[in-house]
Amino acid sequence: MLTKVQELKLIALCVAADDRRAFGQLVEAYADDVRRLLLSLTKSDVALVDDLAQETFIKAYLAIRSLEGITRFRTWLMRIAYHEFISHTRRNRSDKTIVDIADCDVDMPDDDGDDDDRPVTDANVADALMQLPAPQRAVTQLFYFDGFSVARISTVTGLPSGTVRCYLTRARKRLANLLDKHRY
Amino acid sequence: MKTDRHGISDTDRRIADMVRGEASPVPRDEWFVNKTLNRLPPRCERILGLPEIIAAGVVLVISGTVMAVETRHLLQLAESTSDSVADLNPLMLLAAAACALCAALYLAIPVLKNANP
Repeated sequence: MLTKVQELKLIALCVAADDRRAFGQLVEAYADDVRRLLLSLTKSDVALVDDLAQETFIKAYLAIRSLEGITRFRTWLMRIAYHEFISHTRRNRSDKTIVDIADCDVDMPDDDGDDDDRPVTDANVADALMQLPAPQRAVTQLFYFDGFSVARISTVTGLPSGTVRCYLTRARKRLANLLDKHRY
Repeated sequence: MKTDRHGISDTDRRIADMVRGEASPVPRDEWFVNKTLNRLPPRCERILGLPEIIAAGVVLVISGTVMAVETRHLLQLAESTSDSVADLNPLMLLAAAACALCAALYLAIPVLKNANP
């Protein structure tokens, strides 16, 4: 894991000198984070994950001069990765892994009886996560695994923070009953 | 539900532990960095630095001055007002013109290449 100073130095080398070795170090440092998010979104399609992750880093490299708020490089990368997945899904309409992001509005009652709120009976946490629609999976992954705040998740996904909270509430309901089984 | 100042409840903390504990590891790919770097587009054309621009500018000014002086002598010769034919050096005029052309191209080509990749 890079310190903030190391990260800033590498970004500065990429911007000022087009230093590809420095960019390689950034890729190495953040590849696991990006690939983990994409694994969650693509339901563990490793070949697709590698392709999308590479596209993510190429886009980051091309846009690194326009990076604002250098201290949020990881958030910026995750945002590119998330939108790369969304673009890929839109290009391949037959893939039904994505749902309309407007399906969860803060004004909507949470107990609307849809299947998203049903408790998980499966004992496998990974399976439970995979049952969530893609945007909810991303939100859950970023909040519980990466420790992102609601505001940062909102930045990454482009979803309103109320929608992020709504997704988290649904995910919490689905996952809470697994706690005792897994002794956490 | 009791939450801390970050809005995270005890249930959230326990779910986070569970998710992290049960998450399957990211598959290792030791060639991922190399594959990514190989897919990067070729490097941009070198953009002229300040010393190069100043040097080319100086060459342009000197060449321009020499060309102006020599051209004036040439015109004076045509009007038979020049004191001496030795004032005219056609080679110097040509050399100055060539220097000016080279300096102008040196400045213009990288800019045009970057403008129309």
